[in-house]
Amino acid sequence: MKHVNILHLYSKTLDLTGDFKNLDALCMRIRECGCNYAVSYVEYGEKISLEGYDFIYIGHGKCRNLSAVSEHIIQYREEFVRAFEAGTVFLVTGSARLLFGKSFETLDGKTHDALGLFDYTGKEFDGLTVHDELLHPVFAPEETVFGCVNRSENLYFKGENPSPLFTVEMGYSDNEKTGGTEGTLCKNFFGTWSLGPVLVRNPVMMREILRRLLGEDYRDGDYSLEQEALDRVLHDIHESAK
Amino acid sequence: MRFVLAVFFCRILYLAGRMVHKGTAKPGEWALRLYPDALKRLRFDGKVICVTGTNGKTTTSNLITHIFRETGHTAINNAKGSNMLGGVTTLLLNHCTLGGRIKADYVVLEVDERYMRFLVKSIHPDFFLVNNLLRDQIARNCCPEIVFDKIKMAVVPGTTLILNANDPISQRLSEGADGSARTDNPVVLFGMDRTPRSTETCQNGTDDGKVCPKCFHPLEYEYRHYNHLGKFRCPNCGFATPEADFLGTDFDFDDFSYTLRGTRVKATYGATYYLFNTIAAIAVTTAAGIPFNEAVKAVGTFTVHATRYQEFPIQGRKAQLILTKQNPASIDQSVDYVVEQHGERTAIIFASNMLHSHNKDVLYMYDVGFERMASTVDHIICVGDRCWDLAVRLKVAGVDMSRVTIADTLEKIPAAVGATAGDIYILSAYALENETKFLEVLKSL
Repeated sequence: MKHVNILHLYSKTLDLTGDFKNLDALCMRIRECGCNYAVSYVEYGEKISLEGYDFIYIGHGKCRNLSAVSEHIIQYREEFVRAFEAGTVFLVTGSARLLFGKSFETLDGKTHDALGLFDYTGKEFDGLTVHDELLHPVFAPEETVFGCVNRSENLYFKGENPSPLFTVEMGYSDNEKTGGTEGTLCKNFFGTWSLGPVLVRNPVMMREILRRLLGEDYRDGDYSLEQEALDRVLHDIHESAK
Repeated sequence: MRFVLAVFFCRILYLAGRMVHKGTAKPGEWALRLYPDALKRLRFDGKVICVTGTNGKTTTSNLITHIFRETGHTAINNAKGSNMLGGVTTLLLNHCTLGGRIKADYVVLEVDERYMRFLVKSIHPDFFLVNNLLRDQIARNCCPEIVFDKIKMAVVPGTTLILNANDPISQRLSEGADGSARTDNPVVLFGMDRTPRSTETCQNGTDDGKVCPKCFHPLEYEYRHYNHLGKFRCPNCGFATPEADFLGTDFDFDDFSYTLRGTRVKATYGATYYLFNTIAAIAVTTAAGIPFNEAVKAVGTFTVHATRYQEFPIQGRKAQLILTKQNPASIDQSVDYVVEQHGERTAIIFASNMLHSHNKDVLYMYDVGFERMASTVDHIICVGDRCWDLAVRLKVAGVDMSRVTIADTLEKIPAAVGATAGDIYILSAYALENETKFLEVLKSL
């Protein structure tokens, strides 16, 4: 029986759109698999040590909070590189993705250095991009993930995204084009613009994360309610597109 | 000449609209198209009060108007909450002379928080009340700090700011634009002391006061009223609840009363957020020249608008319809209300697509503290376009799913209600396109 150590980073500073419910749902599913878990929290200004954690989660936040966090997190770059290389599972949603690129620019014209795990940059804009999106995960391209985007930041690769998480059926890719690819899946790092309950509402995502976290202890659970809810959303989107 | 034409045009459209029960925004919008500077031509004999914030704008501006009228003054306001530029223009062009003069002693304008910065280009408010800033309509506003930035642009020299001392976000309007501790504008602060309902931790799903808005370190609370409104202090930088000029104390929720500046205030409704509104209204009207005791007396005769709350029987059971805004704080307050009731209870919750955009996301549900219903509400019926998603949300909240029924068509609602017991509480965001049919079904049972 596996014991899963979960770290929720910056739960107070990066906390928009109910993202932390992803963790509630994940814990519920870990329990269903007969495993144990413990959730720890490290906040802005506190020392970060990633040793011993199996799952690290950072959620979407306001850009001004992200700027503050970037100055803090960058002090621990080696910790993040080590955890990433060791195969620790990361889920990073929304604007928190910018922390893992090379840098990002805020509206005041300042450039903030980031952890540099991936070769992209970010930029805050004066406005808001809000849309639903339909995505196909690279590990299960026949499945459809429903996502919600609500952001004031863009993310750019110089060329193509070398390790995308999704191909985009409806919505915007990372380089702000329609279609293309979105997100990052590299080793066990999952990054996406899709906010809020991306794990809760998409069984294919929850199952993939659980498999990677629990290994042989993974057991499939009852996802019928979540699947029915997702199927109805997909049906409604396709109907309204007609 | 164009101004006179705009006035006539606005009034004709307004009268025509009234005959077909249309809203009050369009006449003003069309008048502004005809003459974009129409508002700049207006001259006010009396004082102009603008009211904005996330929740409580309509009720508070109506209460302020009531106090002015009860104390023998003439006052006009956009009572039904048509609060964008069009609605404000309709009101003003319907009450001005052809020379653009508005003779009322007081003009009370409820203004959408994002539009206030445009209004001040034409009209100089004497008083500017900001009730609160909470997470609201994320598809439009993203987060309260973005709304704060927009409201900050509306603070013009000479306007007296009336601010909520218990709100760490909107209260920062009292700071100078250059980051100095105090703005040059006169500031009046209102607030609430600890009440029997105060809690040490946030009971709601949404908490925008987790970190200090100035230095981002965790904010500490001595008590909270709801969401992030309460008595706070940042141990890192010292940012803290300031001393309020109008501080309600000694709250008694049995008779909806409290003490303000040594006088007992008797309100007509006891919700915490409403008592906040009454203190704000007394602060504004007193600052605007109404004797304090007369303002207090007038609060006791105000009737809260009932369109967002109705009672009717369903299958012989008492049913209460609580209409909310489609924002987590507003829905959370309805959840609070249901949780605080006694006896066997059934909640019917209407879950919709996002208003206006029709997006299928339900992010707002994940910022609502449905967890509190897990051990308090006996039956929950999920209805509306996103009823299955609501059921998923309730499952994550730890609600026993054997107590949850999904009525995904109108035809399934009667049987679903018939299988439950106890008082019924219907939670629904107002302005929903299909809300009417849903209510018709419930009222026919």
